[in-house]
Amino acid sequence: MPSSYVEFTRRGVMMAAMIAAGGLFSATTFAKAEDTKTIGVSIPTLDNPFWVNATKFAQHAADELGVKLIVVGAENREEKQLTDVQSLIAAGANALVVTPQSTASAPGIIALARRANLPIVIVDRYPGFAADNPDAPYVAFVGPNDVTAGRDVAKFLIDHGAKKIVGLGGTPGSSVAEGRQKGLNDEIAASKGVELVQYVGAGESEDAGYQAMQNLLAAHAPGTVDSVWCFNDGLCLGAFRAIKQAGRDSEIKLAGIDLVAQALDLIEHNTNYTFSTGGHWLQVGFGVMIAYDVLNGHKPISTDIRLDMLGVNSDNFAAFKKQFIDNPPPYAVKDYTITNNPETKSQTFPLQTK
Amino acid sequence: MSVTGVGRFLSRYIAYIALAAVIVVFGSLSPDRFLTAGNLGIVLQNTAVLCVVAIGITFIIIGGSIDLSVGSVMAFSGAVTASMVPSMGVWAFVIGPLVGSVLGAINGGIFVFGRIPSFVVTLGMLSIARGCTVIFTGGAPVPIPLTSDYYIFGTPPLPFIIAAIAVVVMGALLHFTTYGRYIFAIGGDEEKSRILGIPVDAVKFAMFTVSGMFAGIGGGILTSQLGSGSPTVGSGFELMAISAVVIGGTPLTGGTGSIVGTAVGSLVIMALANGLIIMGVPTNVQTVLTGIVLIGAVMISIRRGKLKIIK
Repeated sequence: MPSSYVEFTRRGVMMAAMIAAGGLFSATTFAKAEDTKTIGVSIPTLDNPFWVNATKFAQHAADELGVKLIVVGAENREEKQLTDVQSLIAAGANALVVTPQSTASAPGIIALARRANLPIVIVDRYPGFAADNPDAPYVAFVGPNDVTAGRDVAKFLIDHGAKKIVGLGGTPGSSVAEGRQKGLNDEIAASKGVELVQYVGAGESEDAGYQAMQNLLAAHAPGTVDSVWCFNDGLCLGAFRAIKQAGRDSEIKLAGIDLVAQALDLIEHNTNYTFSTGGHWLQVGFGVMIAYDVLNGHKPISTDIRLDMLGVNSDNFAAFKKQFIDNPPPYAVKDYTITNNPETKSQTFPLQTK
Repeated sequence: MSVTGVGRFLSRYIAYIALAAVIVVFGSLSPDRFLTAGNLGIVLQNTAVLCVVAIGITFIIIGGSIDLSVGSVMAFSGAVTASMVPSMGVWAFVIGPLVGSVLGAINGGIFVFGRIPSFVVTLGMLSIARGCTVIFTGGAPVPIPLTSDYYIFGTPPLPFIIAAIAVVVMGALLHFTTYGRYIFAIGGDEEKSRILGIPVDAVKFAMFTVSGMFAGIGGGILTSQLGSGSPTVGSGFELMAISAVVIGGTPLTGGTGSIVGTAVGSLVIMALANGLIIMGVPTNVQTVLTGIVLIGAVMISIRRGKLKIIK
């Protein structure tokens, strides 16, 4: 039957095309295994600027150190991250640098590394237990110091005249949100004549910040709020829009965390968005440096590294942009590794503009 | 083999062909990494949860319905399981399927007795179960004590053994029992099945309960693998499970399909993900390729002559 032959040909052609395309594609992307050491990096996602920056710096560090890097994003899914890490192990990784999708999924990931006998560095989200515990040991933790970050933001606002502060907090219950809130409370307690008018656990996104700020503006009449402390830049950008729409941008200043591009843009243009702190995207690269040292037989100097963040306002914006955005961040990668620089006294990775 | 025979062969064995293609392509490009016993073991382990959950959905799809709630049901069952681990130890594993069955039964009850399309009911349950999980956990993962025996369920080879048992038992149930034949009949032509005296409502209700139960088992295994019951786990998992079923040769139109096909479809998805990472292909490209394989598999296997309308 002619129609059957057409059908037959169509199926045959489709299948041949699929297999050929698959082969061709894989062949073009295939990188031949070399003798160099491989470090596997698993992060929550690759579709947000923070993690894209993190990957870029990690790759820069790996290039400087002469190791191969395989980076996988888990699409914010814990179950995908588990399979990602196993595939990294199968891909021949000699060490792992992992940011667990959630704090509590760390034990499962550490167990995988342990079974494969690979060193693992945990980044950004503290697992809740120390590196040298017997049940789920890991090499080291590198992450932001959330309390200091929250305090830095509050301090900047207070140093610039804030008296009546509103706090837009992160998702209640998360360790990051609680740490940053503690920093805010500590700084207010230490400053005379400064009042926390209201604190709300708003969430993390721009929408959440916009809605929460609209409600806060309705609750507090003009003259009763002069500054907004934000858990992150996402919330702060939403709040910035709400304040502008309400026509109160001349009386309320904002400051956030993360150094997101739009926030930096507003800071550069001297708006009422005055300050952001961050730079901790470098942490994945720092994790790679530590993993490199371990592969060369050097234990890290500290197993719990908390990064003090980099504050950016309109005064130091130009220097920050030049050193961290337009060029690879100013770290002589090799000097920070014990393997190449036995004299190195610390691996605290200070974040600052020079 | 005649030409129509080839068509039938392709549509029946597409999953096996796809799996062979994946193994041949990655095996020839990276024989020292992909084609090792260790790595193939990893693929089998990784497939366990997807396979278990997809088995439940296979029943529903063969019966002509759909279940979109499995990802959220997994999360809720997993969270409840994790909360019971400190008091029940390994026995907490029975909690997952129990909670899953209850949610599945609610799906089935509303679908059958409320006469609301399964797409809508389970879409609602997707949201309800996710919300309940976040409320139950307070938004933060429920950790399992580091020294708990419960970790055994996520440690090789147990996940694989559970999945293998599920394939054998549920495959036998589907292909060799009256209940299984009823499901095929309902998926083929519900009206005629009803006229023939098949207890359509009861069969459908049981179908959804089974799907919920398997989502619960998947949640229990995943909780052990992760070391916690997480409120965010499994979002979007339903689509991956449905993909595994479809690649496995079960059409969304119902009436035909197999459990072994679903197991092989799950293996195709996981072997593909594993192989692409081993080759160093970027994650975003992997997502694109998984979609291409899904469409490609259906394109090759669909029996166009048998479908009057494609919608």
